[in-house]
Amino acid sequence: MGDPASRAARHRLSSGGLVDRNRRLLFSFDGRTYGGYAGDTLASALLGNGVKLLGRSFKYHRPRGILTAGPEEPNALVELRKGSRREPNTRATTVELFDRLEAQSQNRWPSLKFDVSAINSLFSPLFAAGFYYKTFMWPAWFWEKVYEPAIRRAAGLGRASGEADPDSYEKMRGFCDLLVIGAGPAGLAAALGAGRAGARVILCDEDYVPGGRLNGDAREIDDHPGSTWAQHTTAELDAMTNVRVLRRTTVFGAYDGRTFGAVERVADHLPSPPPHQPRQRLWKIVARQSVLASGAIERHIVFGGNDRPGVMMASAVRTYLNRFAVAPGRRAAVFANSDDAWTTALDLGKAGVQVEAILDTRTEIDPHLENKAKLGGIAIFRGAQVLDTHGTHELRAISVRSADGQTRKLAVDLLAVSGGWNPNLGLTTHLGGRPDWSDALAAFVPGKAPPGMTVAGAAGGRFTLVDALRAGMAAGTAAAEAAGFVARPQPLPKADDDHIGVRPFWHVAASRSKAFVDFQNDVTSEDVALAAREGFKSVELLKRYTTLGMATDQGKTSNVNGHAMMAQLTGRPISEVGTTVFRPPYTPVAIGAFAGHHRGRHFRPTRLTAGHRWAEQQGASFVETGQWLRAQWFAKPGEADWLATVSREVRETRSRVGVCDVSTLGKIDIQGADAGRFLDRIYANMFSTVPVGKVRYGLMLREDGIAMDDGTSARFADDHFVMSTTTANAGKIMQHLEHARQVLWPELDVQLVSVTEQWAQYSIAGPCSRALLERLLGDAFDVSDAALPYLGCAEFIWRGVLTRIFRVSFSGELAYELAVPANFGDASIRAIMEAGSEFGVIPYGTEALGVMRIEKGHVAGNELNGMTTAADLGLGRMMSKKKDFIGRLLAERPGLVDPERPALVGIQPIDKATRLRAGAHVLAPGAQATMENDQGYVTSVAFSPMLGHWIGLGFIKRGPARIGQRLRAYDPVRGGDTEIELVSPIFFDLEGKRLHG
Amino acid sequence: MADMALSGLPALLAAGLPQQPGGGVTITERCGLGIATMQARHGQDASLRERIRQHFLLELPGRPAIVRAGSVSFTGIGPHHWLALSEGGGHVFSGSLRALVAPLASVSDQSGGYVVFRVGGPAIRDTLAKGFPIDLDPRAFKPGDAATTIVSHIGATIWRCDDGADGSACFEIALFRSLSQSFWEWFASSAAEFGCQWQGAVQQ
Repeated sequence: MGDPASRAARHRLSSGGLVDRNRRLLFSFDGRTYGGYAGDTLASALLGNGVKLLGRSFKYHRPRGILTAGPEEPNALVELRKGSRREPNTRATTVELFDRLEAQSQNRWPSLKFDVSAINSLFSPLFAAGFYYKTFMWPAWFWEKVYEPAIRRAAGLGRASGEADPDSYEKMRGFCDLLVIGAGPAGLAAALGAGRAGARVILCDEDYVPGGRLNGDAREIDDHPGSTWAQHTTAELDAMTNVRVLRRTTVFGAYDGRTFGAVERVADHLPSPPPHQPRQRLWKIVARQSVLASGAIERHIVFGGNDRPGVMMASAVRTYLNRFAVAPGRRAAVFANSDDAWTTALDLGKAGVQVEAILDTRTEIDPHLENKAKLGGIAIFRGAQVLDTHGTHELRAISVRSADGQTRKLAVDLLAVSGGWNPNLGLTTHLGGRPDWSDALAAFVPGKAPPGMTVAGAAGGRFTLVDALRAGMAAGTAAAEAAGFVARPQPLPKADDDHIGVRPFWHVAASRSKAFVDFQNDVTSEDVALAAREGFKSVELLKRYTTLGMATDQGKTSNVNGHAMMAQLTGRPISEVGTTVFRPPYTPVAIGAFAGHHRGRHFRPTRLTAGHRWAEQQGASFVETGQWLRAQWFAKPGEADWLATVSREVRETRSRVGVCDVSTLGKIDIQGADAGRFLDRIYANMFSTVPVGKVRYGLMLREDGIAMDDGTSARFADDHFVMSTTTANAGKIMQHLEHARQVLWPELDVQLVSVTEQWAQYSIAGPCSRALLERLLGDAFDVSDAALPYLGCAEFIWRGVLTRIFRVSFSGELAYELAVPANFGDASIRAIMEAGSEFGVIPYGTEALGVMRIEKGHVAGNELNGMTTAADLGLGRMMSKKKDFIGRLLAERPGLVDPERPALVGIQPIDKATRLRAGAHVLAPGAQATMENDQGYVTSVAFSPMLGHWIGLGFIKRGPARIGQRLRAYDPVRGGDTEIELVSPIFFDLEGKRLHG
Repeated sequence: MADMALSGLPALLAAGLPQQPGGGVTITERCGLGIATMQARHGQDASLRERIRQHFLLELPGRPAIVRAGSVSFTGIGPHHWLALSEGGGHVFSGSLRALVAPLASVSDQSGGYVVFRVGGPAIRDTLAKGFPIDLDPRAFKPGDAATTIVSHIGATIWRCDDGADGSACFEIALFRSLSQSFWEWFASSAAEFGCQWQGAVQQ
C-alpha cells in the first residue's frame, strides 16, 4: 500500500480540476489522517487517497464504496463531526471538505474491514423481500418482547448525537419573478436571460460550485472550458442587484401557491459556524415563475456484484477526473448501453488511466465514437455484458460475457457503469404530476409540472448541451416578459457537440451472484422477481414490499431499473407499469432548519406584563398562562414551600391589603351607538341597562348553549363599554365578537378593538385597599364608598396619566382594579407598593388569587370547561328572559336542562387533614368505581388558609339539593379515595360583608 | 406624592442590548408617541374622511398604507380602521382626536399598547426577510406602503418610511408592548450577522 503520500500521489492527477492545490486540508476518516485540497468533497479527497471502502450496506453489511459524485449517492454515507455536532448519514459525495474534518464509517462492528454482521449475507434468503412480514408473525407476543427490540438494534444507519444541537438555524422568505432550480448550463442560461432583462431572479444550486455537469465534463462553450463559462456567468449574475445566487442551497419541495422550500447550508462546509451565522437557513420562496433545471441522474445496470467498491457511475468517474483531478482507479473498464459513457472511457485515457475495454450492450455503435476509442487504444466489446465482479473489499476483476457467448475475466480496479440517464424530475411530481415514459429517450420525462414551472435541459429529457442552453435562455426571457420586462434577444452561447444515443438495458439476467437494484436498501434482482411472483406487481406495492426506492436517496439511482425489471417480468411496457412519484423533500432536510429560531423557550413568543421586571425584582416565580408569564407567587426567605408562601399571601391580603397584576385579562373596547344592544345579544344577562359609571358581571354562552366565558363590562359612556375576559379566552372572545359584529349583525353600529395591551391593571384587595388608594391617588380621585360604590368605575387623570378605576372583586375582599397605560405600568406598581407600605401591602400571585376565588366559590377556567351550562355553574338566573342572546335557544335543549345534570357545589374532606385532588370522580359510599355509579367530578381544589383545610369545587348530580350529603372523591390516577361532604360553594364570608368594606 | 408626574418606560431598556460592530442594521424605539386606533362609525366613512381631510389636509388611506401630515399619520390596518400616530402627545392625542372625530368615529387610546420601532440600514431587508412573510423589495413595497402581518409569530404592522440619508431603506414596525422582548430576541439574532446597532429609545 505504501505510505499515504505516495498512495495519494498515485490517485491525484498532477494538474487540472477545480481544486485549489495551494490550500491543502487535513482530515480524518475512521481515525486516520489524510490530506485533500480546498474544493474537494469528502468523497473526492478519499478517492484521492486511494480509499474506496467507505461503509457497510444496510441489510447484508456488504462492503460499499462511492457510487456517484452527487446528492443521489446511496452508499457512501458517513458520520460527520464529533460530539454534539455528530451527524449521521451524510453523503460523502456532497460533503465539502474543510480542514480538520472528522468522519467515521457506519453500520459496521467492530471495524469497517471486519464487520461481524456481514454474516447476514450468508443468511440472505432470510432477509429477502417481505422478510419482516413473513418471519416475525408468531407467536404474537414475541413481537414486543423479542422481535422488535432485536430489529431496532440491528436496523438503522448511523447514530444521532443525543445532545442538544449547539448551532442555530433560521428561516428566510424570498420573493422573485423567477426561481431557477439548478445552476447547470440550462439554469445559468435561464437566470442570465431573466436577469439581464431586469427581472428579480433567485438561482439556487445544491453544489458549492455552480455549473452542474459543466464542472464534471470536459465541455466547451464559446471556445472556453464549460466550467470557465459557468464561472464567468455566475460572476455576472452575482453582480446583478436583481439576482440572488444561492450556493449550497437545495430546493427540496414545490408547494401550493407557487411556493418552494429550500435549505441553504450556510456553514455546513465549516468546522463550526462563524459568529452570528446560522448553520442552515430554511428558505420559503414565492416565485411567479420557476425553471426546473435540475439536470439528470445517471442510472446503473443490475448485474452480479454491481455493488463492489470500485464500481462507479460513468458520469461520476468523469466528475472525479475533471473536477477533482482524481483518478478513481488505475485499470478501468466501462460497461454501458449509451454513447455518453464512451466519453468516460476517453477522459480516463486522457488522464493516463489504463482503459481495458468498453463493454457496450448494444451491437450498433456510432462509428465516430468507435474511431475515437480505437485511437485511444481501447478494446471494444459490442453486445457484451458484465456477469460478475471480484475482490474482497475492492474491485480486482470482472467477469465479462461477450456477444459470442465467451466468458473472460478482466483485471480492473475501476468499472464505470452507465444505464442511461433519468431526468431529475422529482419536483414536478410534488403537486401531483405523473411522469410519462418516453420510448425515444428511454426515460421517464416530466408530466404536468406545477403551475408556473418550465422544465429546461436534461431535467426535461433534452440531453444535449445546446438544447440546455437554448431552453434555459428561452425560459428565462419568457419569465421576464411574463413579469412585464422587455427582454432583448440574447446571443446563444456556442456549445460543442455531444452524443446521446441510448438503448434500454436494465439487468444482466445471466448473472448468478447477488445483483443489486437499490443499493441503499439492499434490494436485489431476486427481490423484484419475488415481488412479481407473489403478486406485488404494482410499482407502489413493489416499493412497500421490497423497500425499493425508500430511505434517504429515495431511489434516485434505482427506481427506474426496478420498475423496468417489473415490466419485463410481467410482460408489460414500462409506460403501463409506470413509476412511483416523489414527495418532498428532494434530499433530507434537518428538522432544526424547520424549527429555525423557535426552539426551547423561543418555541413561541412570550408576553410580559409591564410589571414583569418589577415582579422579577421581588423574587416572583412565574407561570405560563397561554403566551403570558404571570407571577405565580412571591416567596419570602424562610418559607418552607410554595404552599406556605401562597397561604401567607392569602392571609395578608385578607387581613391587610395585597396587589395582583391582572393586566393579562382580555380587555375589549366596545364603542358605537349600538354598543349596549350588541352586548345584550352577546351576554346571557342584560347590559343595555347598565348606567354610565357602573360595571356588571356577565356570562356569555356559545351558540350551542354551553357557557363560554365570564367577566365584567364597564360602561364609560352611553356608547362606550370596556369588556374584560379571562386571560385564556381573550383571543377567542375577540374573534367571537368580531364574528358577531361583521357576520351576524353588520347593521349594528359597533366598533371593537382589543385594548388588552394598552392597560397595565392591578387588583388592590383587602380591608386596607381603600386606605392605600386614598394615599396613592390623593386629590386625583375620591375613592370613598359614596363616590365609588361597589361595581362603580371611573376615568381620571392621575399624576399626568389617564387612569381608570373599577371597584370589582374576585377575592371577595374590598377591592379595586387600577389601570394605567402600559408604559406607565412599571412606575405605577412601584407607586402602589410605596403608598401601601404603611398598610403592610404585599404582592400576591395567581395561586393566591386562585385560592381566594375558590374560597368564594367563583367559577374560573376549570369550571368554564366547555361542558357546563349557566345552570350547572349556579348562574342560571343570569339567563335573561327579556331578550334574545347567543346560545339562548340551544340552552333549552332537553339535555341541557336535565335536572340530573351535575351542578356546582362545594366539597370538603370529612377528615380535615386529608388533601383533595382536582380530577377525582365522586361516588356514593360503598359504590363500585364504575361509570354507572359516577356522581360527578372535582374541578378545583385549594388549601384554604382561612379555614385551615382543603376545599374544592365540583359538579355533582343535583349537587345544590344535596348539601350535607357524604360521598367519596375517588382518584384512581393518584390512588386517592377520600370521604367528602357536599357544602355550599362559598366557603368564606358567606354573607359577602367584606366586599363592601 | 400625588403631584409628581409618573414617567413612562421604553419597552426595551438599553442595558444589556448588544452593540455589534458593522452597523448593517439600526434600530430605535420611538417613545412618547400619541397612539390611537380610529374606526369609522356605521355608515360614517365618507363624513369621517371629509373631517380628517379638512383638519389634517390628508386623505385617509383606504388600503394598507400610511399617510402623514406634519407630526400626525394614519395607517390603514383594516376596513374603516386606522392606526393614528402623533409625535408626542401620549394619551392627550387620543383625547383630542376623539373630540375631533366624534360622533363619526370611535377612538381608543393605545399610547401604551403599541411599541413602535424604527429600523434601517443597508442590510435591513435581509434581516426583516427572516421574520416577515411579505415581500419588502423596493419594487413591491414602496414608501408609504403598510402591511398588518406577522413577524416570527408576533402580530405586527410595518410601513416603509422614506429612505435614509445614505439611501438605505427605513421601516417602522408597530407591535404589542408585551411582545417587544420576544421581538427583540428575534430581531437581534437575525440582524447579528450584519452588525446590529441599538440606537436607544428616542423621545418624541
